[in-house]
Amino acid sequence: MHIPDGYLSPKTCGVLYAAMAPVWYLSARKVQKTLHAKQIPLLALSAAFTFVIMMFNIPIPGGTTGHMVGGVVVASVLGPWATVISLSLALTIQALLFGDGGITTLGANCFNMAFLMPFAGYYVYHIIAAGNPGQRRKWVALFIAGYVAMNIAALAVAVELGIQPLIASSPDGRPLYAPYPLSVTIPAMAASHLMFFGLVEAIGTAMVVSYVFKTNEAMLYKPAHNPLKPLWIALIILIILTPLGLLAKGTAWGEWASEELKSILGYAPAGLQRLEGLWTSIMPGYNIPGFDSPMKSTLGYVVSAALGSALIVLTIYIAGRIWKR
Amino acid sequence: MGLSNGVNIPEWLKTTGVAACPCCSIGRGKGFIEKNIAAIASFIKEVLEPEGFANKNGLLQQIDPRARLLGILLFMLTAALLKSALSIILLLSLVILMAAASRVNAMILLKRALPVLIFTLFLVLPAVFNFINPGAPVITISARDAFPLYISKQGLEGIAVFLLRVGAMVSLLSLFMLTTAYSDVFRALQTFPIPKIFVAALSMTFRYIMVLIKVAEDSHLARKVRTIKPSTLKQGRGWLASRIWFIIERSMETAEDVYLAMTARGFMGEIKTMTIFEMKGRDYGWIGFSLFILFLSMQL
Repeated sequence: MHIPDGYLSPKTCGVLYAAMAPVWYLSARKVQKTLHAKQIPLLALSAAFTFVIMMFNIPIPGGTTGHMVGGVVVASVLGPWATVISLSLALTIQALLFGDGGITTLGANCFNMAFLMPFAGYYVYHIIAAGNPGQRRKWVALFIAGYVAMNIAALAVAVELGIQPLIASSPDGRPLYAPYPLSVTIPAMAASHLMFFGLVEAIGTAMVVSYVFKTNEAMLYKPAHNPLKPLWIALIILIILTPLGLLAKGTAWGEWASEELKSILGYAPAGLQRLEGLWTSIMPGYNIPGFDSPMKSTLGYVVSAALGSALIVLTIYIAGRIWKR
Repeated sequence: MGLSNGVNIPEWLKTTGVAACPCCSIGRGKGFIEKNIAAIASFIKEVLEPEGFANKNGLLQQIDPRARLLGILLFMLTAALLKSALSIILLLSLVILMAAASRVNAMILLKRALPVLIFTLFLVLPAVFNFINPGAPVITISARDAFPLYISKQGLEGIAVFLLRVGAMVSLLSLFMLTTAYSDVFRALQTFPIPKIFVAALSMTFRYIMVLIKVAEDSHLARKVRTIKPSTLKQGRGWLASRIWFIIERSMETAEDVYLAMTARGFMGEIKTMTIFEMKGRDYGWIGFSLFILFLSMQL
């Protein structure tokens, strides 16, 4: 489940970090609102218990054992938003100190395990346990929540790995990152998670949280309002937006060159055309003008790399001086 | 002698070889209690027995931890961007040179990278065949028209580049972790555009993992030494659920105590650190070098 460094292309890693940025921001805002100054020790300790829970082997029928991620267990104590941060912290510690999962892939791992998993589990539980459930329905809801959450996270991993040959292959068809297409990754992840890991998570979630229902229910997270409300709102928005999305085509909004604008609008704004020619880099194409032979061109590459690095170092140096002051 | 002076040892206590409790030996191999104790022990060993490279007077150790982390991240980005096996081998050679200059034993570095590499190798082996990566045949296994099976050049090159890339990236991160004390890792992270509360929580998380792991170890050992009568799988699971919950409860109580202790010492919710951003010429040189290699790789 933890994707190591080198499995995903830098583009995929960038997109998933970017996808997690608003989630982290929102989680931090929500947590700050509810926990105030208490947040640091509480998040730290909950991240620590998340880490410890992930180390436990859970026995399942058939004589084998497996590790659980614990996303739904943590969400049942802290609520889904604080769980995002708590699991992200635990995953960061695992990646940095224990080499479990990568640093470049941390955004992806957090997206799968710290975001999709707790939210999926949280909502599945509240859908099944809506109303006034008895002990048995709660147990079943927890079991299914753990099972579904684990399998959704596994599906996300399968998709992230499976799209690599599509988006990053060399011209001769050689894969540059994870080599298997979606037709292999999805069945492989589905088989192992539907049959085994999903079951471990389901049993683990049901046994821990239902134990708390019997002993200390007051410690469980209680949503301030109907937990299903945001889900309904999101569903309605999605239903409205889906047909619109199907209609959309062409370049991403705002990323038009003047040529494209001309085809869209029928004309290209004169100001844009003027601005387009305004900036041509000193070394277009990382080359020194006039250095055309292969030997000189290589030298041009090296010189432009050296100059680029020197400029950035200079910027860091100046920033450092100002900061110190 | 002990048996002759009237002490009756029950039959079940005389039998050995079979673990007393099914939860300690379910099916094949060890049970979950023994597995958990082993996992906890190896974790504690790993954390408490750092190899000691962080204190050596090597190349990386002399560089400010913040610059060191930034440089290593830039090298990792370089490794992620490279496309040919040869260029990654060159980068890997540079990593080995850096390790040697930092007095890090290459075998220790390899030992750290090996688990991920072995896992990756088994994972990608089927990708050498034509049914995953079709292309020019290198070794033909079956030439039947209906089901041709061969190892393709593209498949071999693909997994070679993939393995080398994973190896280079894992070695780079391991090299950073081996040459940096844990406290410096968190100090280095403070320089990056990450909210201070996350970094503060991160270092606190690391500290309290050790406390909670000790709680977990104690409960498992206590259970193991008290086990004399076989218990059912359901009982075993019930016990584990109660222990996991106990750890959660303990952590919530500790969070409350830590918060009160912080408040008593004047904490008002704002993080203040003593970090002063002061880097020397060699730190800038190191960042410049790693940027230079990154830019070169972008043009390859």
